[in-house]
Parts: sequence; C-alpha cells; structure tokens
Amino acid sequence: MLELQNIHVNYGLIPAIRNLSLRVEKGETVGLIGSNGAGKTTTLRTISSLIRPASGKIIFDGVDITNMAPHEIVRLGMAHVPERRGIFANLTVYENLLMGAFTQKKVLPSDYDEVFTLFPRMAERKKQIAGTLSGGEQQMLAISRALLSKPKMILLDEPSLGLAPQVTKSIFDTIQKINKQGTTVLLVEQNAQAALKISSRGYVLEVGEVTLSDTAQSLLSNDAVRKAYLGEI
Amino acid sequence: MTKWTFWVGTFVAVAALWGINYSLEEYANPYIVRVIINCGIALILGLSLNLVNGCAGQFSLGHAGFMGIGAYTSILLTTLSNIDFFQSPMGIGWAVVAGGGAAALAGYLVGLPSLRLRGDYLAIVTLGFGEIIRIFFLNMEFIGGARGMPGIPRESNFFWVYLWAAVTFIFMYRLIRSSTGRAILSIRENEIAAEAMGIDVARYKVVAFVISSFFAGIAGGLFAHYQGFIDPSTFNFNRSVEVVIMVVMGGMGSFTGAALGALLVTLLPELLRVFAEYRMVIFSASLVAVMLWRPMGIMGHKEIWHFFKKKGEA
Repeated sequence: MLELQNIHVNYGLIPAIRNLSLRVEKGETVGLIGSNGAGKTTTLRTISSLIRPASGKIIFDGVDITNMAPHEIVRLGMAHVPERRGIFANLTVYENLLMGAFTQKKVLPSDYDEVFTLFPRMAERKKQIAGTLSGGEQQMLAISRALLSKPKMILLDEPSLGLAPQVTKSIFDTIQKINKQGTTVLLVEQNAQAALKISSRGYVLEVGEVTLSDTAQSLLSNDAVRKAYLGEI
Repeated sequence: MTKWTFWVGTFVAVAALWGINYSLEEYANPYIVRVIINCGIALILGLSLNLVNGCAGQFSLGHAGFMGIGAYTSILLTTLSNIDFFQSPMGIGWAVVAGGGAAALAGYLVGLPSLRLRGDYLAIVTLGFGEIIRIFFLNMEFIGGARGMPGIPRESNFFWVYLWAAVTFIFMYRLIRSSTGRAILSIRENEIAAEAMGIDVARYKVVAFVISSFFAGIAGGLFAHYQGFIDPSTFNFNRSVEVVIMVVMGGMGSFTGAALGALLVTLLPELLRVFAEYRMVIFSASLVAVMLWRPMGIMGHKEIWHFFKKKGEA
C-alpha cells in the first residue's frame, strides 16, 4: 500500500530524517514510535507531501507520489490527521466535516451516518463551533473529517496528544474499528504502549533513523523498547 | 426563496434604489449626497478586502493599487479613447466593469508569486505593489501624471454605486457559503490542515485575491466617474490603510462587520467635523478604543444576524 524508500529530509542544513525506509501493507495498522524530535511528524508530513524530501521515493498504491502536490495525494485516497488535530476552530463541526469531504464530488447522507456511528458525539455537536469542543472531541472531529475523504489509508499524527487516558483508550478503540472496516492505518505516537497494542507491526524512530522494526508483539516485549518508551526501569 | 419572489424582490430593490437616487439628486444637500456615495464606495472596498484579509487570512496592504488600476483603466476608455460607445452611459458602465477586469488581471499576476509568502512578508509585497502602481500613474504623462486627469464624465451616482455595493455583498455572502468559500476560510483557520484536506491552498488564495481585486477595480471606476477628476495621490498608501482599518475594525471575516467598518471609517470623520481641528485626534482615539475593547473587531467573526440567534447555535 505504502512504501518509503531511502527517504532523506532536511530542514535547511539540518538533516531531520536519514535514509528512512518503511512499508505498510494493505489492511495493516503500523505504529511509528519514538521520542520528541525523532522525526515522526516529519515522516508523516513528507508522505503527504507537506514537506519535500531531499532524496528518496514514496510509492502509494502503486503510484509514485514523491513529487505530487498535497491535494493530489488526498485524491488518491490518503488522509492525514495532522498533529494537534488541525481542526478549523472558527467553523462549526458540520462545516469541518464538509471540508473533509472537499475532494468528494458527492457526499451522501450515509457517509455522514458512518462517521456518526463511529463518533456519536459528532452528531450531537453538529452545529457547535469546533473550537469550543473538548480536546477529545476535537480529536474525534479531526479523525471524522479525515474519514469523509473516503481514504484507503489514514495517517494519524499523535491522536493521544493532551488527552486523558480514558479518552485515549476510546479513541484507540475507534482507530482499531476503522482499521477493521478496511482502512490501512499508519499511526505516529509517543504513547508507544497504546500504539503498539493496536498495531500489527511497529517501527522505532530515533534521531531521524529507524533503529528497530518488528511485529508489535515482539516490540512490546523488547527490553530496549520497554526501557526507552514504555516507562519501565 | 422561489424564483418568482427572487425576481420581484430584485425588481423592488432596484426600483427603490432608483427612487432614492432620484430624490437625492432633486432634493438633498450635495454634501450629504457626496458623503453617502463615499460610503457606498467604501462599502465595496471594505467588503472586497474582507475576502482576502478577513476570510482567507492573507494580509494585503495594496488595495488602493487595485482601485487605481480600475479607475485609470475605465477613464482610459471613457475619457481618453475616442470610441463612441464608451461615451454613452451604458458604455461607461461597461468601462467600469473593464476596470474591474483589469484589476482582477493585476491581482492574478501579483497574487501568483506573492501569495506563497505569509503574514508580514505578504503585507510588504502588496504594499510595494500599491506604491509601484501609484508611481507608474505618476509618471505616465498621457493619463495626466501628477497633475491628474480632469474632465471625466460624471456618470456614476447613488444608483450605480449602491447597486454595485449590493452586488458585492450578495456575491460575497453566497461565495463564502459555497465550497470555494469554505476552502478560502479553511486557509485562514489552518493552512496545513487545509492542505491535508485536499485543498489546493495556493489556488484558492489566488482566487480570493482575484475576486477581491475585481471589486476594488469596480470601486475605482465608480469613484473616478463620480469625482470627475482623479490623480495618483487618490490611490496612495493611506487609502489602502483606510480599507484595512474598515476590515479590522468591523471584524475580520465578517461581511456585515466590514460593511459597518466601512460606514464608520467614512462617516466618523464627517460627523466629527464639529470638533474642528481635534477631528482626526478623536477619530484615531476611537479606533484605539475599539481595538482595546474588542480586539477581534466590532463583529468578530460573526455576521450581524448571529447576534439575534439563541445562544449555542452557530
């Protein structure tokens, strides 16, 4: 579904990502974990072309998307839920959802219903200004909005950011549901435990390089990972 | 609204404009008429700039430049060319539209490279563009240069100015509720998220800029054919700032706010004439006061009717 081949990304003179290669198969949930500044967000932004890589190749669904514009990639069926949710704070929940369906020629009521079944809260708050939602609701909105572009694959940038453990759990349950309904998921997280629990495979990113990649199960039991990311001594 | 009521409504509104126009020309004090018409031109300018500065969130400081292009293009046709058609009232109407078109074209050419910039940088580029336009007019002898251009047929009046103001308002109102409008709004809200939603951000910024320039050009053409005389200093930096004040004071992104701002910025200095030399001091102080008490502008992001709705609804 998605393949990154030897990606290098620089911010000015400073390399942010070095020689990153990564694969996500159709129907998988892949977790990309790492600490602050490891290059997780940069990786996602490079995939959806918000940042241009210095070298390397990105292939999505058989198409080389390395030099495509971000809006073209969305049309191919990739949705990006940006870091800190990136909701349109002064618009209503409904208007935010409409923006998510921007690339769709026609939006059916059933498309909204699908999203509302996943997040009933969104139906209740349809007319509310998005900026007045709670953090968890804003995250739900960001995911709902991304789903309305009918993606084959969804990139999630730290959905747990700033959320209470309870809310995080419910969001991750929903991500699992979305994946089961057939959407491929690439999940970037600092909360390694939560991410790996719902992932089939995982990559560990350290200062711009992939240092470890394995099935989620073995990463969860890997001593180095446990020490560095799962808070065990 | 059915088609039928729409056309009847339009007819009644146009007839009312005609009627007011007639009574103003017959009975009203010329000073009052002048102030009212200046308000109308300010309305078009404020409403059009609101699309770029308020809705798209791109800070443009060169609105007077586009107004100037509209004004000079239209007088080129009506006053300087020898084409008979453009001497007739009908032809002058089309000349004003042509002025709008020229301004829109200029907006496209300026917008394409400069809208890649953000915030302060864009403000500087548009400011520079406005000055280039003014200095260009200043040095073109055949359009009067610094002496200005007299003898323009004075064909625009209350009817045409307010008809265009109404067209601008309705156009903007409809636009912002369309998917193009929402795309423009989403750029202001969060550019990265807008891109991630599949919106071609660069394209929609240019679209907003071109539409805004078009109406600024129309305002310029109407202004020239009302004044009967224009010179380059009419379209200087102060004029651009005045329009920005209308938008900021009224509330960024609110069209009724921009309209209110346009009226206040035009009317206040006139109403304050009783204070003679303290007039502009009081005007400036009132701007400071508005910004202190309502930094988001008088209306904020809301339109006037939102204030009459129940709480919690949007």
